[in-house]
Amino acid sequence: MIRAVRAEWTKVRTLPGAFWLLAASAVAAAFGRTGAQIGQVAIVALAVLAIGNEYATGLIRLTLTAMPNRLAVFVSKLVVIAALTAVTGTRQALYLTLIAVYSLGLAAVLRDTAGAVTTVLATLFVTPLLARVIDDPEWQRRLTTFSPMTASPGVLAGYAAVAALAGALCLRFRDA
Amino acid sequence: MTGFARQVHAEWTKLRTVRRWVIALGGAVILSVLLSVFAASASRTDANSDPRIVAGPDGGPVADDVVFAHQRLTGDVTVTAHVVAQADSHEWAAAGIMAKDGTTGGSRYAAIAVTPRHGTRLLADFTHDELAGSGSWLRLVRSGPTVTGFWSADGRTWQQSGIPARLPATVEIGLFVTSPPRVVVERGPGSTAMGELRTEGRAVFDAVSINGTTPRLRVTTVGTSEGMMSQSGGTATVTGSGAMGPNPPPDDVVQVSLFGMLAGVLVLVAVGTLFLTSETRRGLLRTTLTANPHRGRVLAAKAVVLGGVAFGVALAAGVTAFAAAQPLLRDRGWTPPAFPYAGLSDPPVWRALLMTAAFAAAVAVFTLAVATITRHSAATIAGVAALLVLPLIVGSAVPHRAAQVLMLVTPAGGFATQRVKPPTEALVDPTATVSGGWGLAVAVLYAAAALAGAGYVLRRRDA
Amino acid sequence: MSSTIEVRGVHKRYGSTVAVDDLTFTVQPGRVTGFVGPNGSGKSTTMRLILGLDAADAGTATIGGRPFRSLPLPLTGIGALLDASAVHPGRRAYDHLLWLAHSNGLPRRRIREVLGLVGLDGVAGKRVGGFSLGMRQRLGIAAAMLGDPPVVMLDEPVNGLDPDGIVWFRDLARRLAAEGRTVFVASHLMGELEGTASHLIVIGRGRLIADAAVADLLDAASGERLEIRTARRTEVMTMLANAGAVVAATGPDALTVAGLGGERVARLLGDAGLEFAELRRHRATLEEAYMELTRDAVTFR
Repeated sequence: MIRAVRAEWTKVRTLPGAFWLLAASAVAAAFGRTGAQIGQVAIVALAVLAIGNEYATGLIRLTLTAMPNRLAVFVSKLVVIAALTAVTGTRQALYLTLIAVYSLGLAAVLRDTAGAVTTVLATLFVTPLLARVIDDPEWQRRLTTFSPMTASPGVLAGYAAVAALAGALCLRFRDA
Repeated sequence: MTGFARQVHAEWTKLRTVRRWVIALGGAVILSVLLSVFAASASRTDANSDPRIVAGPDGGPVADDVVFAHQRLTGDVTVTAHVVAQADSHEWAAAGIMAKDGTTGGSRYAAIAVTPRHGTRLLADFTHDELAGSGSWLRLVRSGPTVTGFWSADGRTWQQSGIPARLPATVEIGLFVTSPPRVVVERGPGSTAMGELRTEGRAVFDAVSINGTTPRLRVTTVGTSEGMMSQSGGTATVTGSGAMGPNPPPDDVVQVSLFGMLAGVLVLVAVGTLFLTSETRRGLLRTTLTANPHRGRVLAAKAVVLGGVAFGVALAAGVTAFAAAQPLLRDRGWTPPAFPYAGLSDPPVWRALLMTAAFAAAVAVFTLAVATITRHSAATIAGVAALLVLPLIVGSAVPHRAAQVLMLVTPAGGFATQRVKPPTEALVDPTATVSGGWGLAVAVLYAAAALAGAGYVLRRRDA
Repeated sequence: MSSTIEVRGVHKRYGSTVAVDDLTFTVQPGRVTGFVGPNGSGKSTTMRLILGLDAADAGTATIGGRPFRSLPLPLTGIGALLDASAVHPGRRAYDHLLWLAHSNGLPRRRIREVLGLVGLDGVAGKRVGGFSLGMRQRLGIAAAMLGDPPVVMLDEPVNGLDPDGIVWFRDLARRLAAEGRTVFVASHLMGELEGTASHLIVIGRGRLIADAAVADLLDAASGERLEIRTARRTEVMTMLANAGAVVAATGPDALTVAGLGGERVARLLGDAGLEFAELRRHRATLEEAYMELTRDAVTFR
């Protein structure tokens, strides 16, 4: 497990893109909640790419050849991305970390970078705007409660957990 | 076929033969419609229970709040009055002479009035409001079917102009005062508090005569107006609040039914990105450039095909979403007079649908150009999506002026194409701060600039 | 023997397509085993099944008696190259091997060693995106050798290599086998394995066609046929056919004969007074043997 985490950490740190994405999100997150809403886009990209790139290039097969324990691979990716997000997220660390986990899980289910980024951003962005457009107070309350971007950390953690679990199961039981 | 037509044909074949993209484009239509239907089914309005909104002569929503001191007359009539003084309660406060088809809210009228800042004006039927000149001596003459307004600075030399009003034989005629409420908007994070402060207009009249005799006037507060008349000697002082004119609620019934286009546009962003990056990643672009070495032309052909497809997809989504959502909205209070029924044949509606489709096409082409420059799927999708959506979210938490600037410097303003109503300060939605035309223009500018940049990069770079 | 690859009754279908159908074979150490079959015959699928990347519907695949997924440090058990282009273009060659080394707790020293082995020391600090296909193949082989494994499994390793590279790879494969390793090399071109592989596993449409030593395969393909070159082809053919042989013309002055021994043919020709320029035993090439075996198994998906 330690080895897997170390390998995933090496993967992240040897790509220049990851640094820039983290830097962008860290700068944005320093501006509080609104900044985090902007910076989360970089975190979504970072987390989705951690899985999506491996499927896009076929690297996933090499990864699983070196580390056949797929759950360990998935958890290692989760740990590395979440830790990086948490460290750079300053006061918005909790929110951004949960978004990272949610994105990573969804990417493992969809196995496609473009599809995963679009899906994550759509679920993040469309629901709060929808809540604004509708007038039905009951629906408004539900949307505000359950939309990932406006939800309480507890609800967001629920989404992240479900996405991570689904991602882990997909990685574990589907052909690579 | 010319070289370019062949290239366009080739790119079209590339697009339509990738099954995932075709499914995604179909999904964009379905997603847009479903989301719009959901938005419509959860949107209720109580605008029609607002007493300040009544049906005007043509059925549209108008405000008809006025303090009216009047008497009934049939046939030709001449009314004269001198406004001695008018309080500057609101720049559009009005005081003058009016002939009106009864005192029910929304009835027709013709009037001439002074305002504190905008001169002497000729008014009719809520929509007609024209500057006549200046002069506090006012006269309204009704002769047969025509109504004429006269004004004078001294009561001796008069100027005149016709007023386009269609009044019945018997009208209520006399003095009136209005003073619109002052709108206060406070935008905070995620919410907008909008309040209206009542203002009270006040005007002092003398030399009032109807057909040469001193009238016996009765005061009616039409609609929700409040005020009174007091007479002493030869002068009459009238106070009044409220306004007369079009009063559509800021909410836009077309925009609500097109909300789902947001999701459709995001899907178009993804397809637009992959239309390019799938070629660079698999080295297919080399094949493409071998088949056609004019790189700028290849990019142009891709832009034409993608823009055309995006336009078609968005138009299909928009028309379907509109048609599906309107009946739902009608069941939820979106009815006349506050919201006149909108149909696909109404020019403002199909203009909004065409502009929304054009906006989607501009976004798709912009995405393609950004993807050409970055050659990176995730960065392109995340970046363009952020540029499109974040201003909508951030813009609802900042003051009106800042929201307007955000809409004019980012392509997000293009979502204003979904509105048929003019810009307003009264909504949280930042797209309501700019007109659809401006929003579309900004998006097209973004697409053109990015395309130029992409063409430059493509020529300079090794494939 | 601890380092064999054993495939037992493996079956795999994708949707309605059967990719691998009841496949059984063993790859022995100490020699290069070629794994051949036409495109789409199931070679890559079999390799993915051996590596546990895809799950077999039935049967087992083991490395040294253990399923791949149970290997504690898999890179030290088996080194594999499946797809040379499966690298992140933005990562440097050294870093690509570095995360692999970390994943199995291998020392950094090994990275330099394998880069030297494949001749990439000079470009270790370059990003992989700029590599040619041949360089990526070398990097893939370096990755396979990182854990110094007793078993090496390579899918189409010479694809993209230049002629020098192909010679280099053949030497490397033979050397690895000589060191006692199990070397399993897949290719759809028999010619690539000529002179390298001493044993062949041939599959077609997911089924085993042959599992034999190269020498035996060549003998089988050659059969008991004779080649005759003569200016009087028509007369020779008629005479030998009358004598009970199966005769086939292979050129304007050449024919093959089956069903009669060499001495008997020579005597018949002499008795009939028919001169011939050459009479020799037919020797099949590996390519011919392969074509013969896979004639019915060619499929495209």
